[in-house]
Formats: sequence, C-alpha cells, structure tokens
Amino acid sequence: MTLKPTCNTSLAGILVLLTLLVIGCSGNREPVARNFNLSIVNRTVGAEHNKLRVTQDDQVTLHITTDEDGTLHIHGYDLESIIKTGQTSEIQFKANATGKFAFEMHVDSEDHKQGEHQHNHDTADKGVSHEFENADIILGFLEVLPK
Amino acid sequence: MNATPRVVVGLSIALILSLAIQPTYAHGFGERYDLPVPLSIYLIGAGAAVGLSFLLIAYFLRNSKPSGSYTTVDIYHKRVGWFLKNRVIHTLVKGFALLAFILTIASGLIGDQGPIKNLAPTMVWIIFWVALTYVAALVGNVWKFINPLKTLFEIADGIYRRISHNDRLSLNCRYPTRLGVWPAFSLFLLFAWVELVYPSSATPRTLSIFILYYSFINWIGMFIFGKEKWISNGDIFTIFFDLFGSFAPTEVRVNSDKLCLFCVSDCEYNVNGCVNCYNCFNRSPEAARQVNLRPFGAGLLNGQNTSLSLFATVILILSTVTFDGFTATPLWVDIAFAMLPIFEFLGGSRLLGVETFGLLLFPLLFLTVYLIFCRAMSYFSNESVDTLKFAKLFVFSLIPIALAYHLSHYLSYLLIQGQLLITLVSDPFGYGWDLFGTATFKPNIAIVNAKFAWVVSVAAIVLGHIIAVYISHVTAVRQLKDRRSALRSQYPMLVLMIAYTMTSLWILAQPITEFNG
Repeated sequence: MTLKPTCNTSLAGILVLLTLLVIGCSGNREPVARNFNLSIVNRTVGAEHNKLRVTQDDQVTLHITTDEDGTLHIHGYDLESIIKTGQTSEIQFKANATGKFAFEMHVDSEDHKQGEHQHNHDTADKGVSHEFENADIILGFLEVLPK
Repeated sequence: MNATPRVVVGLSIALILSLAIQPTYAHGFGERYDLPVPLSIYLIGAGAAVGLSFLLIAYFLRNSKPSGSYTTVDIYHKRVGWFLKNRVIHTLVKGFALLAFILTIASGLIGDQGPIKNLAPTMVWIIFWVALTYVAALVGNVWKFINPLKTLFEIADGIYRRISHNDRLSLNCRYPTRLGVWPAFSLFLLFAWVELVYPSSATPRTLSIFILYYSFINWIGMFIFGKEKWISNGDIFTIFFDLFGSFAPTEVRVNSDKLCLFCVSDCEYNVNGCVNCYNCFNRSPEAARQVNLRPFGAGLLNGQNTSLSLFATVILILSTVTFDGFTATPLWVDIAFAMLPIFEFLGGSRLLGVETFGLLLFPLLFLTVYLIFCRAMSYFSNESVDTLKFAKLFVFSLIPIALAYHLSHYLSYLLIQGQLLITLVSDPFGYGWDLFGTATFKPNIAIVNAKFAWVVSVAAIVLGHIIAVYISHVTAVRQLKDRRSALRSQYPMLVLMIAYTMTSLWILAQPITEFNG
C-alpha cells in the first residue's frame, strides 16, 4: 500500500501552497487617486503613456486630448468616451479588477456605429480588402496590479 | 476500402480554400486579461520544485520498494453511489450532452456570426476544451460516458437493430493492429492546427462545419470498425481526456479478468481486472463492477504496454499544450518575426506558414530532448533496457506537469470568459432572445484576483512536478530489476522534469504578446 508516500506528497504540496499564500496575501495599500493625461497624436500616445500602471482599487482618471475625432475604449472594464479635437474628454473609474487591459481608439467612419461594439479579435467575417479600415487602434495597456 | 482518405482530402481542400479567403489571424477566441507571474513568485515556485524533489529523492532512498498499487474506495456498491446506477440519470446526462452538441452546431450554422454573440465558440473553446478538461482531470473522465458522437451512433444502431431483426449497424471489419492510434494522432495534429494557427477558429460557422466533418469521420470509422474499436483508436478526445483523466481521483474498474479477454477495446488488464474500460464495465455483472475513489495521479501508474502510436500521440499532446502557451510569449514573437522572410512565397499567408512550421517543429524538438534524457536514463540504469522502451514507459509521468500548466494557463480565462455562457444560454443564436432572463448579464472581470491566479498556478505546477517525480520513481522501481539502478536512472529524469517545470513557469511569467504582422 502506498498510502504513506501519497500523504507525504500531499503534505508537501499543501506546505508549498500555504507558503505561497502567506507571501501572496501581504500588502495593504490605501487606494490612491491616479490621473493620466493622454494626448493622442497621430494615433499614438507616446512611450510614457502606453503602459498605465495602477494598483487595485485606485481611483483612475484619464484626461484625453486628440488630434482626430473618434472614441476611446478600455477593454475589460468596457468604458468608452467620445473624443474630439480641441476638447479634453474624461474617463473616471475605480480599478477594482486586476489584469492587463488594452485601451484603443476607434476612428469615425461610415461603417462604425457608435455604441455598438463587437469585441472579437477575429476579423474573419469582414471582407478581404476591409481588414484595416475599421481596425481598432490599440494605444496601450492599462495594468492593474494586485495589492 | 476506407472512406477516410476522401474525407480528409475534402477537409484539406476546404481548409486551403478558407485560408485563401482569410488573410488575417487570430489566436483563439475571447480576450485574456492575465498579468504575468512576477519574478518573486516564479523564483519561489522554481525553488520549491527543486527543493521538494530532493526531499522526495531522500525519502525514496530510505524507504522500501513501493508496490505501485494504490488505495481505492469503492462507491459503486455503497449508498452514496446511488446515482451511478440510476438509468434515468444516465439518460439525462447523456441527453443533456447531446442537446448541447446539437445546439452548438445549430448556433454556429444559423446564428449571429460574432464570436461572443454565438454559443458555438464558447461551447467549443471554453466549455469543451477547458472546463471539461478540468472535470476529467480533477473529478473523473466523463467524456467516455457523455460523448455525443457515441450516443448518436448508439441511437442509430438501436434503430437499425429494430428494423433489421437484431443485426448490428457496424460492419465490424478487423481493425489493422499496426494502425494503432495513428488516426487519432493525425486528427489531433489537425485539431491543434485549427486551435493554434487557423485564423477563423472562432468563427461560429467554421466551427460547426469542422465539427460536422469530424463527426462524419468518426461515424464512418464506427460504422466500419465498430463503435468501441474506432473510438479507442480514432477519437482524439477519448484519448486526450483518457490521458488527463488518468490523473483523476476516480476510476471505473472491473475486478475480474474473464471479460477482458474478449474486450473489443483491447483494454490492458491483469489478474485483477481492468481499469477505465467502459466496454468491460458495461458487459460485466454488477458484482464485478467498481467505481473507485483513488489518490490523484495514481491512474498514471496503470499503463504498461504503450504502443508506438500512443507514445507519439502523448508526445504530441504534451508538446502542443506547452506550445499553446509559448506562442503568446515575446520570445516566440521575435522568432516568428525573424522567420517571416523564409515564408515570403506564401504572400499574405506567410504568418500562417511560420506558425504551422512552429507547430510541426515543436513536438519534434520536444521528442528529441525527451529521447536524449531517456538515453541518459538507460545509461545510468546499467540495464539492457533500450532507449525507446524507457521512453514509452516514462512518458506518462510527464503528464502531471503538462496538466498543471494547461489548467493554470486557462484558469483566469475560464473564470472570466466562461461567464459568457450565462448570457449565451438565454440567447444562443445571438438573435436577441432572453430565454432565462440572463441575456444582459455582464461578465464580472474582477471575479479572480491576479494574485490568487498567480499563487494557484505556481502551486499547481509545483504540485504537478512533485507528483510527476513520484510517479516516475515508482515506475522505475517496478520495471527495473535492481533498485539501485532504478534510483540512478531517475537522476536524468529529475533534471528533465525540473527543466519542463521551469519552462512552464517561465511561460506563465511572460507578458502575453500578440503578433501584429
């Protein structure tokens, strides 16, 4: 009967899990208000702003200016705002979910209906020559780190 | 004689044609929000894997030879196992699986073609490919029971028997022994290509068409060779779920070997009967049947005579599971980018060429590394067991590592994207229905915290590693005559397993990258 080795193995495994949990559950940061000024020029936001790092539960505000009309969309959180040249738009939210979320802009075109937004990274149902006309322009990533 | 070649040719032509129409790419379906495992947790995991391995080895050195048999608790004959015998429950479960199958195909064919509005992609890639693997590995291999292709064939067979006075539907031609599980191997390679390379793997209609092709291939196989014979050799999912299901804490057993002699599935049996052969189980008297609880991973000790085709299939499955994760790493993106010029002749499909090449090369690399270590094992053991025999013997001990990686890799994905199912049951076709009132449900992306995912993933992989080391040790001691040489042979294996575990951890620590070529 090999009951004993199985017990030892399970014990070892549980020890590992506990150790990791103890290490993992540390950290009690107070939520902080974070502000980011994104200026979209030529469909990019520049190197300092293509990775926005915040901690879970932070109150995040994005102030967005752009040289082209369109919409800004944050994946996962599914937040959207219309952006217009000459205006500053704002998106405010609490980063309650951890993860890495792409934010992108959509440019106004006849095919693109505002408010109706399909999220599939599979553009297979579009015709051959249209694959880049309605492309989502990924500007960067929002990284929400656990506490 | 066999209709399979024609169908495969037809399938290939269909694939090539659809390649011509789709110049874009897509990796799988649904979004991933995973954060890479941070360095500190990665190092702790790696250290734990190595440290615990040494502890285990020390334990092995001191203790006597393990028998390879394991504790089982039979629940079939107890009151708590009442649902196992209940016919109504059997029919309900099978019927439910069949319904899901038919609904999936229907959604793909006639429903809205947006991948998240349609039931088919979620059902195939999340429920079937991920959730069912979790169930098979952590609870028990239910696939053999709920397989809808099998159910439909059984229904057709039942009808045919009624109208033909008990003549069986299947031709029951002799299945060529040499063919082994090569049909499943080839089909799995095709499946892996669809999952990892094919750009439209999330398009509902394409999925339904592939499912139909696959179903027909299987029904033809069942018709020609018999249901059980074909399924155990040709259904890739039977073999896949069998493999990961051998890790599960439950098993089905027949404790007498009399029936096994006539088993159509060629189950492996010994004087104590056979394990997880539904064919024998269904034919055996109640008294000989058992449904046992057993320790995790114990089932990996059962296989003894592995055919070459099964060995190849296991290697293919293990390597594609790892390749799946590897293709999302920056390293792969760099390699693929560097290889693009080689495939210029394919024009717009050059990325597909690179990825297909990677998919074919990776298992070969995996096999080569594995064989090198098997050669080392053979050398260290000083016995006249050849490398290939070592290879076939120990390949199952790698499964816990691959399984732990596969489950970890998909944990957040399952918990977040899996919530799509809640919306889809109310509106499977994407027509705007609301059958159960859940159509407007928004998936909660905060359901799994990144730290939790990291810790569980790393712990699972380390645990898988330890189980793998243990299984490998027991296998060695059982097979080799001298205990000393058995222990010596395990040192190369330990190195290999540490390397495999480190690779899995490394992939989890990489930022998920997509190719924009």
